[in-house]
Amino acid sequence: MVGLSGRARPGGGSAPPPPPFVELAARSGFSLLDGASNPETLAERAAGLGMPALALADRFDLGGAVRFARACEEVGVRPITAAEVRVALGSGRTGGAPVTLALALLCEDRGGYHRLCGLVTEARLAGSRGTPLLPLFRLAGRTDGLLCLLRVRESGPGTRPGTEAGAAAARAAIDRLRALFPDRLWVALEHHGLPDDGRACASWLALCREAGVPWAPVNAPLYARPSDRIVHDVLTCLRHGVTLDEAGDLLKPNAEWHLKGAEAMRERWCFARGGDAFPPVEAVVREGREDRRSGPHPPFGCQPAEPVLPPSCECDGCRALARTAEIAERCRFRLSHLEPRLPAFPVPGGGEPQAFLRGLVEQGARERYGDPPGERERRQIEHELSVIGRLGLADYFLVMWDIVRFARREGILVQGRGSAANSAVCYCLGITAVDPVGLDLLFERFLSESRREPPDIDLDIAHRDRERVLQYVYDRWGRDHAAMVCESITYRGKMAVRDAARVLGLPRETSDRLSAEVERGGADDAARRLAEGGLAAAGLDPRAPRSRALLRIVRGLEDLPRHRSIHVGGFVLSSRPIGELVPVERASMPARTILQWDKDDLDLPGFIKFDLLGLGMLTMLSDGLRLVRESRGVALDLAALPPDDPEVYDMICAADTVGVFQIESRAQMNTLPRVRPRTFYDLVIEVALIRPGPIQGDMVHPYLRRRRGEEPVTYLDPRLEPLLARTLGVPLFQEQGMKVAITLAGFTPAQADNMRRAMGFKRSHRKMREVEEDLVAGLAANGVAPDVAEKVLQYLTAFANYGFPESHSASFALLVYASAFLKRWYAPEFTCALLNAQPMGFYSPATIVHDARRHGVEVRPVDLAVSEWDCTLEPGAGEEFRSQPKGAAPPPALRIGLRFVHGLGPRARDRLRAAREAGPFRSVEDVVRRSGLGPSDLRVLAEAGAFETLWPGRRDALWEVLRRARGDAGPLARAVPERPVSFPPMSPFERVLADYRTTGLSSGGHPVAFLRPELDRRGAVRARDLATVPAGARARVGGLVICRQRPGTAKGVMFLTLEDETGFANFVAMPDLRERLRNVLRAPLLLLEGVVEREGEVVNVLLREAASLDLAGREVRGQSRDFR
Amino acid sequence: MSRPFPARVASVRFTTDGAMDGAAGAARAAAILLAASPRVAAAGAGLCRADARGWERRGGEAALARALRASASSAGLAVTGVGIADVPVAADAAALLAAERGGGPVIVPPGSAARFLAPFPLAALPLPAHLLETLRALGLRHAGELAARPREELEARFGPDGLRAHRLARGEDDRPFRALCPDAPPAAELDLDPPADSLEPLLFVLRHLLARVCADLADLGRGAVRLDLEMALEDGTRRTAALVPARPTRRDGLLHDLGRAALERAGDGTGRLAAPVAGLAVRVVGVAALEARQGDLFRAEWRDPMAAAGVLSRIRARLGEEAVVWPAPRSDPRPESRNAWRPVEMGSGAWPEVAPPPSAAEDAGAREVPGALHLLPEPEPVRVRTEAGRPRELWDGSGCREVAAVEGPERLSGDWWKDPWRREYFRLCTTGGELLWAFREVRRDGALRWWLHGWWD
Repeated sequence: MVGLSGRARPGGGSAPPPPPFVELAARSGFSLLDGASNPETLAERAAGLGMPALALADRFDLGGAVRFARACEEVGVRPITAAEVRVALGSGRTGGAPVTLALALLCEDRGGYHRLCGLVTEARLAGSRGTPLLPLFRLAGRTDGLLCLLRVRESGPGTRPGTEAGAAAARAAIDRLRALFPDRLWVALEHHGLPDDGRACASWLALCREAGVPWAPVNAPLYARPSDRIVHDVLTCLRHGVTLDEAGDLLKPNAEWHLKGAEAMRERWCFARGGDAFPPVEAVVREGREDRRSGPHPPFGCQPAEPVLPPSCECDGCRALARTAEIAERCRFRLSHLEPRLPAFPVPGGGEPQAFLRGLVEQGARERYGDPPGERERRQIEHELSVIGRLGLADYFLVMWDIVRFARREGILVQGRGSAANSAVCYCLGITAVDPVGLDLLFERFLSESRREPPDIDLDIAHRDRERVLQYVYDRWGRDHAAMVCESITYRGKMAVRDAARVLGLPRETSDRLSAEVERGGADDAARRLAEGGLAAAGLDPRAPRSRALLRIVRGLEDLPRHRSIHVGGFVLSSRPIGELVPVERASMPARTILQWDKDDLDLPGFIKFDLLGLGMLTMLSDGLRLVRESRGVALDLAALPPDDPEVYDMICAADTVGVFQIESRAQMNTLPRVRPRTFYDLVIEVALIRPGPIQGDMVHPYLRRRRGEEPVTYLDPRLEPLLARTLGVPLFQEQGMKVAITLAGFTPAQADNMRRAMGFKRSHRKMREVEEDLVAGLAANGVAPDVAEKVLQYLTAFANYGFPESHSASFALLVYASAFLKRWYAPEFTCALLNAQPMGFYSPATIVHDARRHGVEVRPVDLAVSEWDCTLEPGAGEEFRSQPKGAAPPPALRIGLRFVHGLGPRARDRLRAAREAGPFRSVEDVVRRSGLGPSDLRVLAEAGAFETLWPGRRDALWEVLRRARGDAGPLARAVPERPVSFPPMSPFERVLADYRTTGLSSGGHPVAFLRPELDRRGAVRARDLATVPAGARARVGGLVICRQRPGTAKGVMFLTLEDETGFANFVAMPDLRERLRNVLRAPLLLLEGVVEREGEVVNVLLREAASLDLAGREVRGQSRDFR
Repeated sequence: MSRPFPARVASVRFTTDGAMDGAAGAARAAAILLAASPRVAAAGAGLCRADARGWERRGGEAALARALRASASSAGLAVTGVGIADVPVAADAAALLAAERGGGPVIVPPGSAARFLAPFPLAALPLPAHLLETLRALGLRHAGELAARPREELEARFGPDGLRAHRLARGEDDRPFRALCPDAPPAAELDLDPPADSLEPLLFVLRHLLARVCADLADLGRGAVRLDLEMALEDGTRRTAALVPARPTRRDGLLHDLGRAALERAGDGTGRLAAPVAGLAVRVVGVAALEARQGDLFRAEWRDPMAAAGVLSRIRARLGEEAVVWPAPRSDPRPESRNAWRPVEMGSGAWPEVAPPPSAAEDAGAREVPGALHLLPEPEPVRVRTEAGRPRELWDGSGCREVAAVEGPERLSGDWWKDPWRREYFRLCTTGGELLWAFREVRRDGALRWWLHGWWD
């Protein structure tokens, strides 16, 4: 048992230590919308209170268990893994609702943990969403290794011993629980300082004595500190869908549900006089009268706020407090004790997995490297296989190989990425597409013996087909042994502001205004923004109590869990039923189950995770290759594209990369003309360059200057030259950081990887300190000068995990080249596939279409006579496509698919597909009759021009469709012969506007082109002509805003991109100007003015003024992609 | 009351900021314009209409426009335009045009509404948004283009909406005119000569008056929410009593009972009046639809709800307006605020219902906030001497009491988002054997105050 040292009290002397106390029933934010503190906060508070251990018992939830265990480890508190379950004792006496009990179940050992997970899983999977309920009999035979605290306050009202019937029900409950938990049952009593708490505790104490069951005090905190009470009140309101003013008794009536230490609990629970602590009021009256002349002692035990306690106390209350520490002492289980194992891979013929793996790798090596493979490759493969063997990971590689094999068999494009591309084994198994030997990649970045941690393989899957792969994994390994990882969605600024406004009862419009005042980001930032003018701008008085409360609420919600969703790709497999390792629950998507753990939680117990990620670009490439084959008869193989095609690189160097994987963003486009990639490795660098790591480490500009020969290539230490020569002396990749540590500080590869992890995204200060100490010592021992050592340390800490691993960049660079190749040589197919893979990438469909038109692609509008649901290719008009491959068929034209017509959902899609399968549409009447579409769908199709072939003239077609869509007027309707009518045809501008309104894109031109006379009059230049404006001159450009960006690394600077009929214009808004013009800059169509800045071929305009434009009252629904 | 629109109508557009916002603002504006025209109707945000008939004898329609502007101006209502035409749709458009021009009123000559409307954009017609959007998509921009379309074709495509749009575009608008000021509510009065000095003749007259009023209410299809019974005394003064039934009614028997109670209160208790009454009047001052709820034979409360309402009305008439109250439990942790008696709102038609405050089973523990056995209606301030934070002596109006024993504290707090409060309750046993319930609270200024809140027998 851990004791606490006494604390000095004012006035001198040292008070006797209170009995050790351990809180055994704390709740965190993972009791969704009930707990108001994160596990880390609770752990930190427990340490501050000197608590030796703490049990986290969220309601039917272990989602916070790993974070809690980690946080406890950091602060020196023993974590107790637990959960609260609710059980139904049977029907009520009157046959009504069942009597329910709340049990805090604490894991004594690993078996208990597995049983607890099993119970939580069963309850979560059986019940509907919300708080589940388990029948008590389901606990039979599943309680070994679990300690049980009966939480009487949280149990149903039928078991309260204040009445005879309640006492009988309580006795029955205790008897049944004692049978399930012999010697492992305690009654947990709570006293939160409410007027009735004393009476309730007294009756339970009497019952415990009578039944001979021990009791233990708990405070069952819902938050760490008293000030967090407001957050809990807010969460309560959100849970019940009421405002604070309406909540009334739903809120806890005081702030006593915070984590209390031994001293506070002793003040509450010490029965200094002995005897009953909580006599009923009647007894108080009686005893008070009897004792009124007997002396100064209080006649009953609930103790004063600042009592003078006896130096040592053996009262029942203090013994019960000490009992909590004894209970905690029994809970020896730690999550690190788990030993999750993969299911054994069913080797054909029953051989050993390692041998089977070797056979597959050797076969793959012959295919990849030639037969026989070279000595270097063979040595690397041997090394990797031996490491895999020693770590017992053959099954893992075989599972991943099996998934890839399934995908290939099904024609689904997949490609491994991330650190797996550092492995020759993965390359030989076909999981990755990059040769790590050829690129000299560091295997230890992927797998290290000393790390004793599982490797991480990320597999990108064509996103449209990803679900098939996921269901294959479920089917292959069984739903009991496979589940996806969850993602805890936590409160951020806007969500916090909206929920705070909701519970304060502010009108929706006010909530919208407040939300508009805050940027995307954390709740703390949002509160600061509101305090610094946002409240007033939204029309609230900052001094009003509710305004101040709003800020407190928003701050308090920072990072609390809000709900749980499916992780983008994490899958976990287990030989043991997975629900016994981590609780599993239903996901909102059908046929999906998820773990209660986040992906970051899997490392501690050593789970192996398979990341099966959806990637739109693979869908695009898959479709693109198919279209090229179908339209031109050219069979392209991704693995065998013509390498280093100069025209492809010319296009990339000109930043003509809309739609190209990874290098289409504005930042990448700005860099491309400076880097001027000419080889595959240049693309690898380009992918890695625009990342937070290199940006924050101030490595981008040195690299660009060296690349252009504007500064010499130098090295901090001559020993770094072999490591950094390929990146001109500037470290850009994670592996380079590791190699620097190996070379200059004498780290082993495993140590270097530990360094990378310690400096990773979720940094541990303690580990950082340790690694830095080792680095400093290592650098000194290797003779590195102190000033150089300092610089080395500086850039290692800056980018250790914010940059890409080189292998990952290489994997992505393959897709960069492939997509650029398609764009360059097969633009219609590229555009068609890109549009069909939407939503994905950086640009809206409208921008993609305009870009395609600028590249000579013939884009045809949506037409019911010929359009499919997806975009398709048709024989082109015969015009020569620029730089067409010799001998290739003439380029096809792109037909926009019906999927882009606004408002047509899946049901319309199915109906249209079914109708078209029966034959092409012949007339308006045919469409109305066979498609089964409703009038609104038909109307929007007509407005979009989709009847052009069947009934020329959009307005005439709409007139006809309206008549047909209204249907038969009935037998009594007057038959009125109609004269043929003809409406005035739409002007080109009207057609473009109608296109934007109905499809969000237009094949008929750019809307800004129609504003050109007005823009000319106002002195605006075309975006394309900005290149001719001298640096330092002022220039105006008018256009649609297609992108607003405020990257976290840009310190408040906003980047805006305008699009006109000639291309893009890039503007930069400094923070003060952005703030001044924030309302104007929200408009979809802008006229911007600024000072032209030029760096080589790259032109940016430093914003000075802005005005919104309109199209003479006509609306263009611009589709800006706004990024933080 | 709804009537077809008059042959000439004036539309008044006004700015809608502040109190004149929305439909409520339009109603307020209509009330202001009553000074210029006896029949005025609110017509939506920023728009009112007035009956423009008969102004040819009072200076012409331009004079009406001036009068409307003048009455608006005197009440601070900013009129932007006035238009006058045969039908509302044309008058509204004329007012819009007047607002755009910023000058005097636009008066559309009789019989030329269609011609006047033709060049107006379709948005000037009160059409549903989806219809407007579709007509625009067809390239129809102006009312005249719509009016030129064959009626049958529009009906074939848009049904009744299309027909209505077509009529409006042609200046045919038969929307009802809902005047702000309805016809005067039913009333009846009778002079008594000689004046009555006893109750009996008054009750006879009252029955007669109420029968007339109730007949008028029947014509209206309404019931009375409240009636004023006015007595003109011989000395020239007047006394008024309100008759408020529990539900809207036109049952003259019940109303007579209420009237009798009112008259008896005015008497001396022996059947004679305090002063001779020279005239009696009954005026309905509020009407409402009669309730027509479906009953249930097997539910006790449906046996005779009107009888129950009658009893309540009579009790209230005899014992005063706040004599009938109902308990309203409140969801507030402060013991003195957990219950309240609320007077029944007579005449509203709303029946008192005792709804429990919101709570949830899982939070049931939070509701258990029992007080002392006897709770003071409001906590009373006391002075307390403490030792180590615990009460030792307590002074109130009856002197000093020594505290022999203390239990507590119990803590309650709340309303942190608007008006925070925090209390610590103690159960005190005095040396005299009294058991008291007191609390201390920290006020906003930091001062600590003690209150006595209850006691045990």
